[in-house]
Amino acid sequence: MLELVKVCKSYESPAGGPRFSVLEDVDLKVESGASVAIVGPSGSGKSTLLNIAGALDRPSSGDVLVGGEDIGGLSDSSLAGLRSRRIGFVFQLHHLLGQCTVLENVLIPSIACKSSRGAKETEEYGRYLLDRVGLGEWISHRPGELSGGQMQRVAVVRALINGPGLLLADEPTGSLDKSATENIADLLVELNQSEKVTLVVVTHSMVLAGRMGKVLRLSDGSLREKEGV
Amino acid sequence: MGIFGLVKRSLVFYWRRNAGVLAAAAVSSAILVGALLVGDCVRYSLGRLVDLRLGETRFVMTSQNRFFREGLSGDIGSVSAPVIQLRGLIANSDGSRRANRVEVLGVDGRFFSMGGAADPFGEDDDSGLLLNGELAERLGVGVGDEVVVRIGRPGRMSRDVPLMPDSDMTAVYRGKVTRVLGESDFGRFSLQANQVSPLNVFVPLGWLAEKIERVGFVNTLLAAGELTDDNLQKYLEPADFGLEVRQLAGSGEFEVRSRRVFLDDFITEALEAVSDEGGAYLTYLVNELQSGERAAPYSMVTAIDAGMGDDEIVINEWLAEDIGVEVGDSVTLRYFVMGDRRELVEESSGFLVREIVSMESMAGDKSFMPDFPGLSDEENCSDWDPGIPIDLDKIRDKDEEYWDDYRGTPKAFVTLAAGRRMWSNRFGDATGVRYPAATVGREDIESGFLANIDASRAGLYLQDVRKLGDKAGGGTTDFGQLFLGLSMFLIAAAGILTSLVFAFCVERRQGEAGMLLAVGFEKKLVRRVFLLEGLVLSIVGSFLGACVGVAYTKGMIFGLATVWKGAVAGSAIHFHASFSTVFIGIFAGISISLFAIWLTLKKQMRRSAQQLLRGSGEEYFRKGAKGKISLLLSAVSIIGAIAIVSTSRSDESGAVAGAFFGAGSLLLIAGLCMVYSFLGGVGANLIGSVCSVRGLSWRNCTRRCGRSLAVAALIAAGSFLVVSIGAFKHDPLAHADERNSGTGGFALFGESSIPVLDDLNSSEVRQKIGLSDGDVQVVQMRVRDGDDASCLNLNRAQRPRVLGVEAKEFARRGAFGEIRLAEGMSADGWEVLDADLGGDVVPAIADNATVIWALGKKLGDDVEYVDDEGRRFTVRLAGVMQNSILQGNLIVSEKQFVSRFPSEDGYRMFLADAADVKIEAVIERLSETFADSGMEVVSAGERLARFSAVENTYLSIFQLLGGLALILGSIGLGLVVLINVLQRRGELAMLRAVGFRRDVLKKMIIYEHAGLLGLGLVCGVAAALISIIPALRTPGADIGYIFLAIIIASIAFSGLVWIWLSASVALRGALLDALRDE
Repeated sequence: MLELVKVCKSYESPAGGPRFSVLEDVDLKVESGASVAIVGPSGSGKSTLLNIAGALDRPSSGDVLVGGEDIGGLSDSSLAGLRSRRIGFVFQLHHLLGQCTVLENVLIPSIACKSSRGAKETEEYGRYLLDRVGLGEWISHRPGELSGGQMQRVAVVRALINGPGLLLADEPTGSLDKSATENIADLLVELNQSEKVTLVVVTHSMVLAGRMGKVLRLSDGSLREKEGV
Repeated sequence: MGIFGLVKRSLVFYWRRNAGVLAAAAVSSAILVGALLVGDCVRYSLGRLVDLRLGETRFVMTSQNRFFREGLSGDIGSVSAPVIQLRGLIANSDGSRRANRVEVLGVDGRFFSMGGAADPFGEDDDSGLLLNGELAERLGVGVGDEVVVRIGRPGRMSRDVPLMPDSDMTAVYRGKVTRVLGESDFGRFSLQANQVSPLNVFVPLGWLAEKIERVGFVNTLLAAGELTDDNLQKYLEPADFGLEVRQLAGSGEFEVRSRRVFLDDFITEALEAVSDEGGAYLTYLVNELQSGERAAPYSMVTAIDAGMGDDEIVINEWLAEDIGVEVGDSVTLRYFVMGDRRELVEESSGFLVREIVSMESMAGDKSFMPDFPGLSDEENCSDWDPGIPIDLDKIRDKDEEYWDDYRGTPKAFVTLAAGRRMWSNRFGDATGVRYPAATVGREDIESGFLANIDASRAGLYLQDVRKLGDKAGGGTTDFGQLFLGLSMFLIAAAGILTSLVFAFCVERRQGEAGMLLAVGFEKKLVRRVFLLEGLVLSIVGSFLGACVGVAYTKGMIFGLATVWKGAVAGSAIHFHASFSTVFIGIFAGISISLFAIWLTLKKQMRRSAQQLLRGSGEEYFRKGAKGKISLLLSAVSIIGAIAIVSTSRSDESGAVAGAFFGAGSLLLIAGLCMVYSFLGGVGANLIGSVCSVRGLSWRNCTRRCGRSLAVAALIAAGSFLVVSIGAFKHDPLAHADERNSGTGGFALFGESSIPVLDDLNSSEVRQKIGLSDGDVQVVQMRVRDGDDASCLNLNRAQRPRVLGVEAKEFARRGAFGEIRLAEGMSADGWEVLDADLGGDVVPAIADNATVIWALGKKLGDDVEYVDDEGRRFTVRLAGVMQNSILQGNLIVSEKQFVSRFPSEDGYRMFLADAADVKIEAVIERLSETFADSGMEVVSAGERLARFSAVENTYLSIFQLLGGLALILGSIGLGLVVLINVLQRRGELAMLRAVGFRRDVLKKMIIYEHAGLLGLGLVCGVAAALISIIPALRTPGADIGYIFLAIIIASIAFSGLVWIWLSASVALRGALLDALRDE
């Protein structure tokens, strides 16, 4: 489903010195329906790796393949289309729109790209997903009326609304307490299994990482399978 | 939910923030709509005035002091009204209030019909005296009050002919005001395009005609409908040209003579062309016919074609006997010829007696004598008052007897050629034309004459005053554009404010933007979502702004009626809003707001999704090319500004204004580039240390370099305008005594209603006035009325007033400074007026402001005129002078004036040099002596001040609008403080957490933004002070340093107050909560 081949990412030094490297020849292959956690110290480049995998950023070198398609040559517009159809994102901060209801927030990605479903069907699917994550009663509420864990669940549902094959989550439990973290972990695993969504999670939470099929550690720009998990 | 649904939700949810954008957009739109509507109101008011002053009148025929038949009005078959229009002056009964330059209008019901008003004269009211409202107010009189009207009586010939006595120049009437006419009563009637109400006295037509001895005749015809000169020509009669055709009793010949004594050249030509047998003659009053020791005084001599030599004379037997001559003897004729200013020069010519004829022959024809006023009607020689000096002591008993027996029968005859050589003048060279009755009948003469004459040369032609009025009503100044120009900075400030408020809103929602990008929205789609929000806000804001704009317009009109009345010369401006103008204002408002929003979004959307999601991506200034480019741009701008300041001409207002705006803009750019570079230096850690509150503040300025620069630019531009405009306000009285100033160095300016015929510098007049040569020296100017082309008239002058002056009078004084000449003019200064530009081109000098603003022309352009004889000629703008008291006029040489406008008698405008200590005495003496002429004398400085008041009022408006812009700038500054603090609440919370006291944080914020305020002020004030250098070199420029210091201090104080307020508001509440939010 997702393959990174010798991906490098480096940045210019603000002081004008030599470029500093974040990712060096990173290889990653995630099979369809698999779940992978990426862990590592702060500043190790986890989010950068996830952004590259999710077509939010481009690598300095190397290839990124989503569903077997090399996305390196795609235009910004095509990448936006790719993100809306095939990739779902969950962020540490939920970034829900305060002006929209829970259901409307979930439907936002459908505005960017009309899915194969019709509007009515998409809405029904949204309701279904919200129901599944236990928010069926809250669809008409505003984000301001939800708890942190509930908001993050809405964010997860929003990421799934267009039926993406790949779900990328960047510290999805970073701002949640232990109980909420476990709830989200359960949800992600359940969705991975029931919806056959490929899951890549960047996290510091070993609770969450431990629920994934594979745990990789990013350190000094390299990605290795974490031992002892 | 689609895009529109999302937009709708966002608009409602963020209504508080959106209200700010809405308000800013409304301000832009209000200013635009307001400024444009002011233009509408002025245009509407001027257009309305055309109707008020002309009524249904489309054409006018005005023949000055020639009079034509009143019956012509009925003959032409069109809706028309005959009018007698004369100049006059009026006073209340005790003389405590008077008004000069009054129009005395002899009218009847037909006139008022033209104005759509009822005839205000009652059936039995044959001497009603009606005043228009303006005049009644000026005199402080009402119905029933008594007033004294002095009317300038039209002479039978030009008053410049010395043969016209000056004793009957005016006529005085005392009467009661029977009604005061308002605008709807046609009381505002005027043929001049001027928004200032005329001073009109209306009297019954028949009554006035009787009083001026012109029963059945008028000098003005108003006509409505379609009419052409060809139509008019069909109805003309010789009487319309002042001609009388009569059959002589003795010889039976037909004779044509003029009520004006002399037949104009073109009339003589037309009469002579009627028949080869017609013969012109010229009868003249000679002072003396002398032979040896003997002389006959004051005799008529006729010049006529009589088959003799030009050096020969035929005398009657009475004269032969009187002076004792026989055939072959010589006779000397002494006679006056007409010089300038009614000057009489005695000349003489000698002739040989060819024949002595009996009194019973054709030589005994009394009818050769024209109707010389003061002469022909008198019973006795001792009663003569012909206008020329007559020494009655010379008149002997036998002369009285001759007068009794033969009246003005010529005592001698010379050839017409000899007579014309001696007595021909600009008023004509014949006093009659005779035809033998045997071959030429009355009808032949009348029809022949009318077929040959060009009526327009006698002023009998139609002018389409409606068309001229509509053109003039187009307005000299497009007030809409003017106010738009004056408000430009205000509009820019509102635009920047819109941008800042919108940026604030968008930045608060950057996570939302990042999320939308992350979930697959393309950047352009995200931009479109926000832009749609902006569009809705702009549209709603602009419509709201339009409503405010209407109120704003009313406020400005109120200002123009009160504190700014000088800008519109006190005329009433009525509110009028056209849909198209409001729509244009709204559309422009939407465009400006949307453009500001689009620019903001463009910048915001440069950031990546990750940056937006993280709330990062601030623009820290980086050392590099941008800093160097800004420094380079700064240097180039400074060099440009210096070049403009050092090469600008201080003697030309347009150049000074151009230099001001040119140099000012460049200096502002230079200053702002330096600010950018400075902030860059701080941002790149090149300047200052961060290890102090102040250092930290400076460093903070660099976080949003563009925003910091926008704030500095707002303050800089606002302070630049407000400071510099102060320096452009001129004190007209400063240096007013200098020859190169606007007064020309003259102490006094005078205008009279009725022409003054005398030379005020002559010793006789001096004696009459009671002033000596040392007290006063006067420059007299002839005046041809026309449109006032000064800044006091809002209309575009079509044919400005023309002044005729002796160029040498100004040249020898070096008055009015340097005259800038058109290309190709070789003469020096005022002497250009005497230049020969060929045929029908007359050189003129005018005030620069008149040429550019009132006429919409430039140096070297032409203005078309029609002379007294209906001939078109060109007045070329050969030279211009700077702002002067002669603003509004075109000045030509007196010689050209007299040849083009011979009907304009005497002088009606005066400039006088007078010693300071004598000024009051001179004003008093001149006003008293020429009170009957309506002489009004004021100090030249006072007149100049009236013109300067207009310019200074505009500057005040500009300054006020600049001040309003500064207020917006200050609000912008406060807003930026709020945005910055709210965005950095987490950071400030951190500083608080690590031990910074709240007051230290406030100080830091104040330092930071006060720094921007200071940088903006320094830029603006420095640019202003340097760019006003050319203005300071102009005469009368006087910068008020204390005023400037107060303004600068006020700007600084107001800015600091806003910063302090915003910082206080933003730091209120539990800052540390922000940490937990993080």
